[in-house]
Amino acid sequence: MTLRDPPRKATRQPMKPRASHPSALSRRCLSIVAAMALFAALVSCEGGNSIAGKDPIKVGVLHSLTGTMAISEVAVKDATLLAIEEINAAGGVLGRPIEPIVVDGKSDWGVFASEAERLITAEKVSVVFGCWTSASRKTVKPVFEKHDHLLFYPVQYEGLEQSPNIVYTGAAPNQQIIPAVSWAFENIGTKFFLVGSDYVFPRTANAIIRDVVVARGGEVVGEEYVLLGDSTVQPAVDAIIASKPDVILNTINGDSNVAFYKALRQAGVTPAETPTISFSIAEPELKSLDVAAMVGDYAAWNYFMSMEGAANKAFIKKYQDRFGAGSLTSDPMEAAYFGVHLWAQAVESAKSANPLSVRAAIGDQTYDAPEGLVYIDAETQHTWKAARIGRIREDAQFDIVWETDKPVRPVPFPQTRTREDWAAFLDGLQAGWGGQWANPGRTAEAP
Amino acid sequence: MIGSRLSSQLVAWFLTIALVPVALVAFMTYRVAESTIQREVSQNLESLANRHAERIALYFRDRDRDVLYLARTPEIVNALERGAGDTALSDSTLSFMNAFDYREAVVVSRAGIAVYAAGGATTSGENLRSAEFAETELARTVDRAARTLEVELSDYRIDSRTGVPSLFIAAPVLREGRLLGVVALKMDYRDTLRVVSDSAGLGNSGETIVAIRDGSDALIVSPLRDNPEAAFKTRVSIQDHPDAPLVEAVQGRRDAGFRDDFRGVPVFAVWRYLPSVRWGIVVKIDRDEVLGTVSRLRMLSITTAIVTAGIVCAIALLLARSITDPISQLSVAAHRIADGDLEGDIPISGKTEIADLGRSFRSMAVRLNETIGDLRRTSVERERAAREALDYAQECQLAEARLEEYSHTLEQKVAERTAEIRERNRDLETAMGQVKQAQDKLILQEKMASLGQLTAGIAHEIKNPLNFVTNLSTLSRDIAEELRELLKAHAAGLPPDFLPEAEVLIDDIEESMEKINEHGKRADSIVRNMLLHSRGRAGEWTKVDLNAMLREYVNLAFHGIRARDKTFNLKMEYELEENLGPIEAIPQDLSRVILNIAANACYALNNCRHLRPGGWMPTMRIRSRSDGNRVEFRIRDNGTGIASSDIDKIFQPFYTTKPPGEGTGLGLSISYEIIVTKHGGEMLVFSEEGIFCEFVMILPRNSPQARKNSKEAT
Repeated sequence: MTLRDPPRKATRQPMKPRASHPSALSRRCLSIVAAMALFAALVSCEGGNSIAGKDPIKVGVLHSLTGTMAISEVAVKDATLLAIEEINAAGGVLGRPIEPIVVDGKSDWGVFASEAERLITAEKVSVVFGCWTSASRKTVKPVFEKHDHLLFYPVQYEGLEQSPNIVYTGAAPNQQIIPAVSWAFENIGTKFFLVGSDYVFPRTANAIIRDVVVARGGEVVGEEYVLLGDSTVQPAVDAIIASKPDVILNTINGDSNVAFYKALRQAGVTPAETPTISFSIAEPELKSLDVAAMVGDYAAWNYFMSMEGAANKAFIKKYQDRFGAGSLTSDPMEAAYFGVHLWAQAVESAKSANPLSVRAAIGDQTYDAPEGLVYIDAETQHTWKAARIGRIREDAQFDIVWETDKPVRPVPFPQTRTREDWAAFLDGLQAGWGGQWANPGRTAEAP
Repeated sequence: MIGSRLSSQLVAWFLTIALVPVALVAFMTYRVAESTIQREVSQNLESLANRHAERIALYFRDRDRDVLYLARTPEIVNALERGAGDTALSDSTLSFMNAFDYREAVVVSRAGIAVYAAGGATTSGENLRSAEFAETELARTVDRAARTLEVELSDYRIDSRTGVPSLFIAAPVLREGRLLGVVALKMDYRDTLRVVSDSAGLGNSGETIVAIRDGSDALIVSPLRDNPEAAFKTRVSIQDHPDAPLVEAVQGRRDAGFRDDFRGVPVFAVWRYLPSVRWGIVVKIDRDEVLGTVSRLRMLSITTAIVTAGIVCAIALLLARSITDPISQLSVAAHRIADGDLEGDIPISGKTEIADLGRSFRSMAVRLNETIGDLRRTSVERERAAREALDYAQECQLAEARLEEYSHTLEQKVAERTAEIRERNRDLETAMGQVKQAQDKLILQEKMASLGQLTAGIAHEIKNPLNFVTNLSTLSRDIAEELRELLKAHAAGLPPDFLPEAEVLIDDIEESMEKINEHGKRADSIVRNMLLHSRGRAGEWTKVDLNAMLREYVNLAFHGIRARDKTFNLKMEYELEENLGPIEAIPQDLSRVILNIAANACYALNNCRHLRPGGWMPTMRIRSRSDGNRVEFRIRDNGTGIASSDIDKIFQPFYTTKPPGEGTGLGLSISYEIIVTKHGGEMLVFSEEGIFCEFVMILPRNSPQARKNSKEAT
């Protein structure tokens, strides 16, 4: 090979052919330099990234898909999956796809605990999104604490809890229950009747409500409970008729609401005379109730499907595109949906899906959720959000009649009692139910 | 030219070899430094932003405690129990406010009446639910605290009543679980901003900016580094600057990175959101400052590269000159040798391979000189051999030229080429050996020539007896005729059977005599040919009948082969132009050419005979034609033909493909010399190996002397 003959390779270099090209030699030099530059570029290049074929990040989705809670929880599961699909479509997390492992809690707290255990130890998920009832959450909480794992809980609840292993994307009491009672005081009346399912959430919520009513100088004229899934509601309705309250605060969960409202209307209690404020009835639950008879009743939430705002419109559209036109969205669904997004953000900023790393990064995460800007409080792992009251319309949607003028800081332990007092209260409940978080049905009355 | 070409190549190579690694290293270093600096700056800024956020959070938590403490003091509780009108609070509350830098304190009853107010625009007795307070941060915060029963912070906004930025914190006042009212404190906003206005570690352009969302704008609420009066005056449209860190921050996002800030200046920024006061906090530093070190590093890299390039160029030029100068000198010397000057001095400097080359050159020139000298002293044949040697010398020169060409381009292969030159020299030596060999052959030929003279002598001696044979055989035939006449005349006196028998005998005698005469003539012809052939080259130009000559000598050549191999036969096709007319030639020489070529053809056909299948007929075609002043004759055979690789060499003396002893290798070279040199004609050969071979001889019709004369005549 002589120097004057450039290698043929050189002619393949993408160089502009010029009439007055310096010389074959300098072309050769250029080609060598170009080759080296290419090599350097290749070395520094990290290669393309496609999430297909990458090791997926497993996440657990733990909801009741059967049993009394299925009516509410199936949709929450769907909203969770919608968020996961969205993230996967956008390239996954850390360039890896999210693989949801959907598990049925069967409305049975024992099943929730064992499935949580299985998801953590056998499936080795990075996080679990799930639970609706506080009873299920209370039952799985020790499991997550034992494994130092991570649960995203999407439903408003009674507070009195601050587990480092749970991120609460639903409302704390001061973001739903307390402002709702205050609002009722200012807008409806001072005589309250409390009715709820007989498990930890309604019992605790009513304890808090009592405190607020007392603080405000009002009166609780009656308090009745229905076993979860039970339709024995007549005693409660009778008590309402007897006590003539200004407002009924309803914390009944699940199917019992159907029987309760039916009995209530049959007894002649109307929203116009004695409105009800519900804490666990959202748009999907309304579907199974007689809406016409409920127009004018209220619900307290942080999100309503009727909310204005681009983020909510987009959320509804995506949900309906995915699960059918006319599908309804609700507060717990929305909280589940943005919970997944917040988790993904935390994974990205922690650069790891490890539960402990995610937990360290979840504080101060914000998300432009359908309900507005939400923010994870680093101290409590609860979510900053605005409280809202909605009035039921004929079309089974809500008119928002009141909302806080800015997102409210989550305070899981209401100031009306000390933490010790609240702990003692919970212990008392649990002891009364034989170590469980819901009335198993045998015990007549809890404290 | 030579020097400059090699020099530019050397410079280019040196630059490539020296600069590419330097450039790569510099590039890598630059990239690493850039990413390190960026990472460091981003980490610094992020930790600073986190520190700010933490300090603000801590600050507000402290304020929480303050207001909760105040909400539980008996004085406040008592004041609310007593209701409006009694505004006396003790000094301890006031000193508490002063100690913790609160500007205003308002105690509001559940009905919204300010039962106590100090230090601000609110006076006791005012109703916070009146129109005057509508939409004020104070009234909102008090309401929110009463509704959530928790400590609440206001947004940080201009208080419509006082016109100054205000930040309130409010806590519900409870007694035995009953809500009495709310106590609200107004914080000193400067205190709050002081937390974030710390620009330590932010260089010359860095600062922390706080903004809130105000409608469709982000409103800056902190003083800017270059504009201390900017608070609550500078607005940034969210729509116009969607990517500005400030805009992102007030919308609740948190991130870090290079962005254009709201002024359009590229910055590195870290932004956070504080939900309690809905602040967007941006810690930023100008990109130019962040990357200042990096661009200095880049400048340094470029400078280093330029300086390196300069040094490399200088070294490469020096080195190139040290290589090209001797090569140029050698080149000049080679040209001189090529021009025939073998005496001139060939410069040799140093101990490099080029010097070796020079020495080889020098020894080659010396050898050439000697060789040429030797050759000049030799005979014509020797001269020819010398010419041959000169051919080799030319080849050497060609090699030199090629070498020279190589040396222009390939200094690093000089050693290899030097070896080649040495090989050429060895070839030359071999050639010299061949010349010696040729010399030996010439001597042999001389011997052959003397043998020829001997033959001529013998032939001459034989010619006399042959004359007797032919003459006497003719005479004997005449005598036999006379005998026959005689017998016929005396037939009567003879017995009846005698005459016929005698006539038969006489016929036999006549026949024998005829044969003797015929073969005597043939022998005479052979001897005459031998004489012709051996008489050397001193032939005379005479008019020659070419057609007759062709017939005679082709036939002779055939019989020459036939004499050795009786089975050999061939078909001869003569296509001779009848009106060819006489030509001027040296008959001895011309006959020799015909004999040579025809003999070769017969030899080839005979050889071929054993290799070809039956049905193949050895054929020789002899043609002649005239073309004005030129006459052409061709001898073609369908024998073995000549390999294309050999066709160039067949006219070289001593080149033969015949087995040793069968051929001298001189036939064709002598023929060529005869046709081309002596007769001024042309001799061509066409052949396809295995198919045919045809020799074409073109002769001028007149002798050179005659042509010269006729030319002079015209």
